[in-house]
Amino acid sequence: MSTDLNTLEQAAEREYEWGFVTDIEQESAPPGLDENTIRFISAKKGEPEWMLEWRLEAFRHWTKMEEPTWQNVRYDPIDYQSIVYYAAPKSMADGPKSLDEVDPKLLETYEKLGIPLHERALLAGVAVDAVFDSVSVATTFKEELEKHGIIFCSMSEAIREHPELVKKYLGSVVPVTDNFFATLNSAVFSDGSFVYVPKGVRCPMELSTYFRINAKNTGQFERTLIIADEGAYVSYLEGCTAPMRDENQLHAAVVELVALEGATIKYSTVQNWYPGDENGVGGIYNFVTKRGKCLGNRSKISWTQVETGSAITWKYPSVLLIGDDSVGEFYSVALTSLRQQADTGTKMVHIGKNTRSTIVSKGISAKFGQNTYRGLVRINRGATNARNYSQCDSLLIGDKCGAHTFPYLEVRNSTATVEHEASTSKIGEDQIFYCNQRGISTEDAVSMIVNGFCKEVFRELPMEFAVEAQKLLAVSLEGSVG
Amino acid sequence: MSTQTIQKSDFIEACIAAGGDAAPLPKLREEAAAAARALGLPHTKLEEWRNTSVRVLSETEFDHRPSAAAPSGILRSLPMQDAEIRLVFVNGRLDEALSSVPRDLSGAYVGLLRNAPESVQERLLSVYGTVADWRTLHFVALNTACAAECAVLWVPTRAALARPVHIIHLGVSSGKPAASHPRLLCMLDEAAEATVVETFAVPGDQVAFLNSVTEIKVAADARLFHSRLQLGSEKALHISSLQANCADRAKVEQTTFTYGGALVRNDTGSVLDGEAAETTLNALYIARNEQHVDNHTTLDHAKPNCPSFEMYKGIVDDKASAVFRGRIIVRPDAQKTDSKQSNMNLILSDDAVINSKPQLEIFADDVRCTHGATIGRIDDEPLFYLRSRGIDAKAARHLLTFAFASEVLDAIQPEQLKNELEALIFARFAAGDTLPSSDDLHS
Amino acid sequence: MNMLEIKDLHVSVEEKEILRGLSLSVKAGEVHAIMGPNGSGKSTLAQVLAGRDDYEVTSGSVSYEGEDLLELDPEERACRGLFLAFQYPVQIPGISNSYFLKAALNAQKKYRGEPELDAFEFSALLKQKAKLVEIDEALLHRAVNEGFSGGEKKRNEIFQMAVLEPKLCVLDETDSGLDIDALKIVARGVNQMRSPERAIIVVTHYQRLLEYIVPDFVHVLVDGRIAKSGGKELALELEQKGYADFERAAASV
Repeated sequence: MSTDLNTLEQAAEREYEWGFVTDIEQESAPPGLDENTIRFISAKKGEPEWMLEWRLEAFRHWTKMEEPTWQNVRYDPIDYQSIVYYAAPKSMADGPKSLDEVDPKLLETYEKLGIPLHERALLAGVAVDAVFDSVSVATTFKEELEKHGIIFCSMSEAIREHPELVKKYLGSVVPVTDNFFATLNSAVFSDGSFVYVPKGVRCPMELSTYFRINAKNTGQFERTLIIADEGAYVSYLEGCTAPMRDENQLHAAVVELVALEGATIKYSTVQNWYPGDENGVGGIYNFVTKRGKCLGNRSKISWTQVETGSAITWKYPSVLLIGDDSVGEFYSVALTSLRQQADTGTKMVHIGKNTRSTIVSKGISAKFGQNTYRGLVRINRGATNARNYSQCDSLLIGDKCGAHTFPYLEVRNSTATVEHEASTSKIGEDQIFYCNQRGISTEDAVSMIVNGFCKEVFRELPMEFAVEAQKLLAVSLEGSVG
Repeated sequence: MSTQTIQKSDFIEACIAAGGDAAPLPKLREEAAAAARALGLPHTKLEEWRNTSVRVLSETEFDHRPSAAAPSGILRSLPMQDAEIRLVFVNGRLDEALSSVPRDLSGAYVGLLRNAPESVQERLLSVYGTVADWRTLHFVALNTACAAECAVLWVPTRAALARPVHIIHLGVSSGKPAASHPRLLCMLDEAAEATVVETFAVPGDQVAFLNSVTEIKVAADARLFHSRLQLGSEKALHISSLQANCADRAKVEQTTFTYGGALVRNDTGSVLDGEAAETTLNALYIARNEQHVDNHTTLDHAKPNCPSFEMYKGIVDDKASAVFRGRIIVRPDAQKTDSKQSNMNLILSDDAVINSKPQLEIFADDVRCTHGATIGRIDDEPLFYLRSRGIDAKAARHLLTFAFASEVLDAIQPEQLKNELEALIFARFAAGDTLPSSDDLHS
Repeated sequence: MNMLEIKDLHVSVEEKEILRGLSLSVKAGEVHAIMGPNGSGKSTLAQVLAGRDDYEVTSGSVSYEGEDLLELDPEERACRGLFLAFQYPVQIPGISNSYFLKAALNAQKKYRGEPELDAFEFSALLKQKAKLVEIDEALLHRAVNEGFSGGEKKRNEIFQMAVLEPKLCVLDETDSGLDIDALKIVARGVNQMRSPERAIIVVTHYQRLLEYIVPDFVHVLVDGRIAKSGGKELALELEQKGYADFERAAASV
């Protein structure tokens, strides 16, 4: 038979295209974490006293917390005292006033990643905040957005320029004490993006942040806060890459979304941190807390994620459906190949009346990858007429990988409708054969079938990202067939 | 040490002190007692016990050597009361007067483990305690340490027991609530066949604690139908562990019907330990008032080509609560596994609580596994269909509730049991409406 | 007196107007065919008559035997003799067809103050009617519509109609999904039910069914209104010319 599916088992000899290192002079904090580290970070960013206090409070709480162990992932203990908590290109210390003053090496880096920051080459219709290790390098289209009253800037700038908004919303969705990694982030967060879309404004372009870890031994702890005021709409994209390094690096981000009455926030992620090599050496530990609050009636938060990178992924983008008639969505593709492990899913907490949530999760496991979906749907007592539909499908390529599904459904209202469906299957030999017979190579057939499998999720991504996601998946699966 | 911990060990010590004098394998009993002591009582911080608290056990003063007799006429209130092959246990001890074992059993043995013919006994003892895991499961350890007797069903190679075997465990209290630890071992040799109904019942509104273990060992090509009924008092405490082990092409079809009990916890599992072995686990749980029913199931696919089917359905009313956790494990060698699981719940009141947690853990690639879970009300679509045919909304809702439940009973064996259970739930959900009687269902 | 009198009926589904001023009179003993292209509102009409919730009547009236039909619950309509043969009959696992029918029949009899049937009478009735629509008796003991083929579902609808003996039968696309033999059987069943006391409304896309159930009147439904009414010859005209002319005419209104 022409379709030798055994070749499927030679999974994912992937080329990580983004593994280069930018050789640039760094300014960083010494490794280790104590109150001085936090004072150092806060001072570097020129933060007001209240922000420093906020961080210190988080740190004091964190020292009393224990690292969670319930996830279905395995890794060697992290030494929190050997991590560098702040690293920035030296050239950024002088605070370049415009793009022309930014170190060309940095601009080149983003160029290489396909994210040009020069106005002349900007991606049409996408405003970018580029974050390099602990600092924001540049934010494009700022003036254009300001015309609409939209604030899009780095978190550091927001703390200085818009303290009233930051004070009001920072930590309002993910409390400082939420969990081990979120609390750590609250203490040491470096940069990230801040978005505020005022009442009734539909953001005219996609906003995006591109995160790049470059420095060695550095953790990245970005913090993102997005607020959509009444009737506002915003679509936000996030992309991430890191160099190939032999040691593991920690990425512990927190993302908070707030949607007021009638507002919609669409948050998309294409996560492609370095996954480590085929023996499981190196790669990013991606321990992220993402949560949105549908505060107002008829508000909507939609998470879409394509997770192909990281050695370990541990994240549950969630929605608290507080306003009546609010809507939460979670669309996810998670691919684990090589020795990657992912424990990801969502929480949909129905609090308001007539709230609706949809969960579509597609897990793909190849080679030695271990992929876990973990999701919670809770219908509270007051959530009359709440509805949830969840679908979790897993696709296995090769017989050394694993797929696990752990949904938790908790219902305490008789008018609720909660439906969960899950399936696990492999790529059928008959499907491959049919493709071969029509002249399609086995590799293309796999890629085609996987893309078909993920279609419902890709459909939710903005155009440019959908194309990138498909390519990423194809690259990640390269070599998984002969 | 907190007072609570002392109470917990008190409960376990009291159980161990009272039980087990006639139990087989004294050494095993001692090891199990040590395990039970070490494990203690489970608490809600354990993932397996997250939604079910057994604090009532340490807070209640039990009668660990209950001597009450079965109330007269008790059998008449149970389904399958006239089964010709019948063992009746009262608080874990065989009541010979109520039991009935005909002579001709096609070579099979139904009775106490300690009375089994010597050649068979040896084999039974070699299986006893090896199917259900007493080393890690709290209540299996406790039962293994405390069981007063062990009931046995053994069917030799290629024999088929045509008539159903009914094993009845009664928990009967006089004064303090009775505690007992019923035990059953079913062993089917190659290509043997049998149908077993295991009833756990507590009369009236008595409080009694039944901690049962059922071990099922099915050899190649053998086939067993097993039904577990939990009936009677809504104040009873039922903890029940059932574990099956299936060899090549063996087939087990197990149905659990939960109707009585304030606290019910069932751990039900099967290891598909031979090629092309098959297991079906079905359940219907109906809870009202403040009843709490917790079902934990595990289908462990250890060998290739094994299908498994699971349908757990619940109807939860008032302040009752139900928990379902269903694990499907597919081991690396278990290629061509075909597993279907569903958990469907009807929630009838805003005070009711349902927690459902299906789980797939898959380590092989050539498999087909699906699971589905639903929690909700009666669908509008069939409701409208019934109303459009002239059935009023209330009766239509009741009929659909009954229909929802009866789907589980379809597979139950024997037919007589299916009819009796259908009549029972029909009376609960549909009687008094403008509906024909349940007898008409079978006309 | 007309059995059914629909006047200037406007119906919306999810705020979209589907029926836009439909009027129709039906007398006992008549067979009316309502034909129309997809999306013209045929099925909406059938569902509204049966009392489906999701359809909002925004204006107009429907009287049935002189009473306001729209005021009645779905089951009251059924008990007063209105029957809808569904286009997509729903499955009801766990309830046998025969039990379901007995529950329905006795509910209707009770409503009308007639004596209910006992098990023997009912069983005899079922047998007789099963023969009428040539339905396999095994089907009676299976759960309602569960695992039925498309044809079996449609025959089952006609079978139920035969057992319940309604006064006004509404057949919603009963011909869809049937092969020619099944179609003939269904048509035979319907024809046997024709009587001076009974009215039948056949909703269909195709003329095919009307070769076997010959209507007294044919109405062309386009864009939520009846564009033309006529005798059975109108169906043939439609078959030859299609709906295009009517659609153009409707668009120009």
